[in-house]
Amino acid sequence: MVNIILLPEFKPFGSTKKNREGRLIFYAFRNVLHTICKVILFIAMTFTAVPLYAQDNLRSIPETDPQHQLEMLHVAEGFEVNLFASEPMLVKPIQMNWDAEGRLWVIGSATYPQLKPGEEPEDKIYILDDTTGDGKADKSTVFADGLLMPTGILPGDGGAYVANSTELLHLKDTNGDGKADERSVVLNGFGTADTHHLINSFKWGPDGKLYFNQAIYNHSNVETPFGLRRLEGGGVWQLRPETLELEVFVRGLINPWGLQFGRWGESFMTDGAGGEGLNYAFPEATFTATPGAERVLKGLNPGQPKHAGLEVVSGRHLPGSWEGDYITNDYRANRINRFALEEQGSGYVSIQQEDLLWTDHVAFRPVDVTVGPDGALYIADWYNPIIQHGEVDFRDSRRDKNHGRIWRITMKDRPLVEPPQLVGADTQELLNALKLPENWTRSQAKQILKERGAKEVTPVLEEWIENLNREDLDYEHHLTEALWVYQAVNVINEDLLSKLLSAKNHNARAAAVRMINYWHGTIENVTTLLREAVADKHPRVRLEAVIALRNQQNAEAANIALTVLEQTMDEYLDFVLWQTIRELEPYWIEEFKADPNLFGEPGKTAFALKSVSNTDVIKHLVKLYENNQVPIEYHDDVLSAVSAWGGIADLNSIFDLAVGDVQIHENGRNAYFSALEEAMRRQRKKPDRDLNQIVPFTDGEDVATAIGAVDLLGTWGAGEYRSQLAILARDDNELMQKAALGALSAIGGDESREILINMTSTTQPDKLRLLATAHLASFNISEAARIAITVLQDIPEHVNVSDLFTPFISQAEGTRALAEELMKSEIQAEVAQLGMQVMQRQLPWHRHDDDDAVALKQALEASGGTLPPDRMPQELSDEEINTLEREIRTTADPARGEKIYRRNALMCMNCHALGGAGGLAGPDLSSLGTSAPTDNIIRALIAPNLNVKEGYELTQVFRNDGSVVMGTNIRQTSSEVVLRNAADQEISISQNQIDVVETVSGSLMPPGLTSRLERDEFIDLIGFLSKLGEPGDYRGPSNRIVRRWQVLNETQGTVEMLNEHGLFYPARDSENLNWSQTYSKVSGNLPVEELPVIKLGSGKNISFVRFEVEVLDEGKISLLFNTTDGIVAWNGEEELNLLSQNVNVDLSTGIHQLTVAIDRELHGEKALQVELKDADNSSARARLVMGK
Amino acid sequence: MVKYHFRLFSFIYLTCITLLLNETFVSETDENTAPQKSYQPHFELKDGDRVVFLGNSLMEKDLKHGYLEVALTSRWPNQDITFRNLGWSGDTVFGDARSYFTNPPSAYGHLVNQLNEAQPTVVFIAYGANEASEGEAGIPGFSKGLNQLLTVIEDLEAKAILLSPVPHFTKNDSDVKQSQLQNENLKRYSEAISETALERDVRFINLFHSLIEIGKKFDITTNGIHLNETGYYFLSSIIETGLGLPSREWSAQVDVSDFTTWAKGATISDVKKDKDTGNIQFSIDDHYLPYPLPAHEQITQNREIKMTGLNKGSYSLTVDGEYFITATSSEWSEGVKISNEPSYNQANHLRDLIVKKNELYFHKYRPQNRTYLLGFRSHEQGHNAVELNQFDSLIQKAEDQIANYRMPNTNNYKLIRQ
Repeated sequence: MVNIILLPEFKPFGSTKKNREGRLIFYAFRNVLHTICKVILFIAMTFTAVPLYAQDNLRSIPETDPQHQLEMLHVAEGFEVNLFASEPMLVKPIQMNWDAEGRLWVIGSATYPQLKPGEEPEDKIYILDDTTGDGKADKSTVFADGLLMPTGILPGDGGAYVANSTELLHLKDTNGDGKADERSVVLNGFGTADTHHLINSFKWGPDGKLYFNQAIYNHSNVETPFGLRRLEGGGVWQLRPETLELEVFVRGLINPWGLQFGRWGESFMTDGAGGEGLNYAFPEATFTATPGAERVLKGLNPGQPKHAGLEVVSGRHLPGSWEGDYITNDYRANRINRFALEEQGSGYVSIQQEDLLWTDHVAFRPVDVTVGPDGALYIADWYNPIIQHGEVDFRDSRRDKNHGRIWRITMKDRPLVEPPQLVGADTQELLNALKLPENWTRSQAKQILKERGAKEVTPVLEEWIENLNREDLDYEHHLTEALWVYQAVNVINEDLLSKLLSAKNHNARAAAVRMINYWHGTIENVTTLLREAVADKHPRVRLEAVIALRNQQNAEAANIALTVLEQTMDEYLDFVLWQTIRELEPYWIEEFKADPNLFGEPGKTAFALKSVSNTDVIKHLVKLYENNQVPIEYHDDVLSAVSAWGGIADLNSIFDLAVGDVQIHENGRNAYFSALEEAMRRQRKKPDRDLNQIVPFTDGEDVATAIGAVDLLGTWGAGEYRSQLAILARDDNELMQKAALGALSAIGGDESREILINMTSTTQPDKLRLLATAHLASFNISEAARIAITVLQDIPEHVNVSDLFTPFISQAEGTRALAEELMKSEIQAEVAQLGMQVMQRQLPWHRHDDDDAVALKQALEASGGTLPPDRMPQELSDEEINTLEREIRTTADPARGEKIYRRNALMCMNCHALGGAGGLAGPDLSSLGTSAPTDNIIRALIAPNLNVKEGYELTQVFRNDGSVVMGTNIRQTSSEVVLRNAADQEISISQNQIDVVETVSGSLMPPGLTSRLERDEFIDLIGFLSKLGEPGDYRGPSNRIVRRWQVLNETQGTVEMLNEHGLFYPARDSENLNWSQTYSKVSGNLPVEELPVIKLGSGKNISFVRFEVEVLDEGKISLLFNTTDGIVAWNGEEELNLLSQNVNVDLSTGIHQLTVAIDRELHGEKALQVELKDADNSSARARLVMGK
Repeated sequence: MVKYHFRLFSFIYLTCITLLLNETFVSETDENTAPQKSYQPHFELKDGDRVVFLGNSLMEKDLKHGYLEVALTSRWPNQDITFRNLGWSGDTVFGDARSYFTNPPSAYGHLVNQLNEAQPTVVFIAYGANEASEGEAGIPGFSKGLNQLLTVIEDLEAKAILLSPVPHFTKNDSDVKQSQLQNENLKRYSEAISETALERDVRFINLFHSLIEIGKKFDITTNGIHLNETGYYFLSSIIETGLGLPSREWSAQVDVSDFTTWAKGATISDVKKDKDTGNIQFSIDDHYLPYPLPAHEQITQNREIKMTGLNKGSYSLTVDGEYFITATSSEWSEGVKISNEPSYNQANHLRDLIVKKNELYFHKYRPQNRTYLLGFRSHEQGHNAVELNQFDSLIQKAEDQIANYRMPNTNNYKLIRQ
């Protein structure tokens, strides 16, 4: 204790002054007082600062001996792994990079996750050196210490760049003793609101610039000589250290911890908290979680686990077939993944390969990966049984602070690379090193050339280019490297640029076009060059050109960009064109208004107009649409642009189409009705046409259209149609009933109220009474509550009344009103019990203890509505959790646990996905078991609000009508906020309806979901969850196996239709049938025995399932069925030829429905598995539709 | 010929920049502060005052130099005055840089909360550098924001002092145009701040012109926009001058023939002559500690000792028993400039303590992992937020140590005949 309370130093500087004596006594007294206070404070803290989650027996802590760990590492066939370095040579490595001498610089932080008050930050930079060349580091030098949670390290410019919390530092050793003696702050103002989101992944780009990432919770505000640069949330920074030019290169991703450049300068990122594998990163690419983004790009591997660190395979040591593959770390599941990339259109396809390394050692946490100068792979193993940042206590003693390893993976029987001597090499030798296949060598050589400067380098470089062998297969790559050297030394070489712009290799051309962008303003004829590049025969060159045009800042640039539409488009081209048109809007909009033919061709005009958020030009878009000049693939976009920005005249046009006979849109009237409804919701605008014209559609033959028309009448508040609506409220179709009642309440007013009250009288049908009462809640809540009690009292037992509670429970006033009414009279015990169940499910957690909620619970209990005691207690002490955990380890049956997980009643799959398939309201659980300790999983289930993953924060929106919407934030732009609610629905709220948007704590997941489980079921469930991600049955295979299915349920008439039309019927008329979601098991198998059976007249028992394939580039794809026994399948309406298990299908771009009929007798109980594969010699690109 | 044997550093005696400041640049500063001067002639800090430095990087970066705080701490060494630096890189009058993932509080809400929690009595405000890139068009919004901020400070019953932005310096030739453009904007914003100051009767200190002049002679920025150590050295003296505080320089004179003394800026006493050796002893009390000297520029402040009536010969000076300098009697009679006597060590030490204290306060008010400790994920780590309060006692301890070092000591000088 004495050690902790440091007595204040009491050493006044000299004491000759007489007047000091009084002060000394004063200080002495004050110091004594302080000491006393501190002792008290310390004692108090000893009792209060006990971590919330008391420490238990340090479960699941593996043996720390490196040899033991080494023995547990399984490496792919043909490889071997050895220990390069371990503690005490380094601890807690986070990032590593090589210098030109071939030494490995590693940054480590024992301070992470949080500095303790009174402790000095002592984090270090280690330089590891293998001086003997035996593949083991024999020397570790501490280059610098005293750092505060450094998260990035990159040697260069005579020292090293280091991420040091709010600062980007450059450290230098000026006296050659191996230790930094000069420390300068290069930039500051980086966010630190979350220390596992700090700036990270320092990399040299091919252009000699420094690139680095940051993540979602951190907001950075960096002052540079060129102005302030802000990045709120995730993204990539791009810095030219010599001048301090700093830009945001890419925006978004949740925790982008991984960045790498390929041979031609193309770049990719990984996300430590996302789930889409590799992300293709080009300038201004925008990904998920970008604040304000209206549109984001997807990753290349949806449904992948989270990854940290990224390296591209290059060089002569690793297998040639791996060249250009990307290696990254699934740090949660203790394994190293590999992805092969293929070019596809303007982007890439990424295909997962077999793991490079895997282990059951839970402290193995690969966080960074790099190819060394010898060509071997080096892995930084952060070494920690605990990886969770916020979810596990910062002071949890299971967090390892003392270990850290670098592993080295080599190929057996294959020579290592002999790296050239770069330090001290002359300029010619350095330039020759740019011809070598190893990325490491070229990158280091380029750095040295950059440091030497233009004066020394360019004369030699000129000659070097001149002497290059034009016949060399890599000639154009050498030229590209030369171009980058020019860029790095800041010399413009237009000759070389134009040579590369007409290179044979499209990669060289794409790199050259990007250079136009960097050199714009300093080179001539940019417009001409870009005009040619936009018309290039390769889509990636076109992509770079469309991006480069943004800097031109004139209408002509927009015009040129739109010419890209003259060739095949794909998702990336569409995205960059959309972005360019928007960025250039200020430069073309006025010219367009003056000349609506500015862009010439209507398709181009339509693209431009639908891309911008501009009220003035919508009329032109509508006109093109009316004239049927808008390409069909833009139709939906046109309607949504009209809803968002159209004026009355534009809405009139849509109205006329909606009620007219000619429909341009393939979905016809329905699409127009929705657009008009949306316009009212977003802009409070409606057409000023005669609304009578809508009415005939309300009882048309097509129910969906009729409901659309009814909704519109409600949205428009068309009071004169109340009587028609009242009739429709008695319709046979319940959906129509609900729509009509909804419209009546939306119209509001006393007349609506009276109509609804009449519908609640005892003479009315039970269902109508219930529905009408529920809708009354929006009029007068007390009256509605009074009526509700009456209805609840005399409705027959067989009618399910649970929906009646919902409108009251959803708002505090309603809850209170219902409680007050219920206090006065009683309802049946069964009904009260139902009410309690609804409350348990639907009441948001933060309202549980509110007065109104407590009052309603008491009132329901007074009516006998007590719920049976929880089978599985939901309030557990730490001791009980420990006991449970021990039982889980010894007795849990994960197979049984998976069945429990899949139960509909538990609703796990409604909100959580496995391998990308399932609900999106909560995080994907694919590697939960390998990332979270079991006690955390237990706590997360019983108290979900204490455990919220980033990206799943709750947002609360207060509408200006007084209502509140709560959900996770999907998108927040200048025009709307889109939330995902607990039912996993997207809700869009227009900004003009919003008072306040707040981020609040808590989870969408209701507590108590597992209370109905038996204890052994709970144990099995946790047993299953804690196995997720571990090697074996509970790790999702990496190939594209269908996981998201819909299954056909029998409803009235289904059997008749099937008997009449045959098995083919569900494939043809699918929309009129009742399908529900189901998912494959973790293994990828769909358990056929769980599927509902439809008994046909022929006596056959059939189950129908279907799944969706999204085709990005059309062509032939292949589907591999694990069995064809009793299986018939259709692609759309066309039956597949299932003679073999592998069937090829020709698909056009877009989403395709594949339906499978399973004859249960012929098929048996065997699980079904379907895998999507690339067909031989096909350029098609397809993915499975994931999500809910 | 004077031989300088500096004890700690060996550098060439260069210039007396503070004098330069007083004579050359203050006229311009005076011009700009003139309207205020009539209302607020004396700036004074009192026991119990809490000074807050609020603004963008100009303030934040002083955390590591400590100059502003050294200047004001040593000015009133008998008073307990405490300081909190709330400077934030990239910040504006709307607190834009203080945003977190979570809202509320808004970025501005954070700024106001931070001010409230710091309980200021005096606030130095340095904004405008980031806003200036908006040019002329941004001025009305900026002034509105500044006024709103001044009202917040008034409501806290604290006194505000407005600083202008610092100029933009070119680090390489290609930036000249960018730099000129930016300086025009910065000047406009300086004027806007000055107008607001005048309207609201708040003291304003124009750093812009003085630093431009100093920048012609010294390298005062790290990157063209952020001051380096030398820059902060000059900044604190401009601010002191702008506050109307007298110079820290002193000169002391002893006439050995009759022991009469004269001193300005210090007190000289106890002059004695050793009859046997002829050595002269005297004591000097500095009124204020000097500024610590920047490491990378050869700058001294004007501290001069003049000894008249000495017998011809060469005399060495010791300070508190340590040899310092040797000069001839005629040079002594002209006056010898001295630097790096023990009071500089003390000033440096004071500065180190202040920098350490600043670091502790930084961890307290702008903690890492704010999201988990105080923000919307505090349900996970909020129990660890108690650790933040533990910084209070560490800061208090650091302030106690600062108090022990801020009072200049009496130095005993001895002139020894060689």
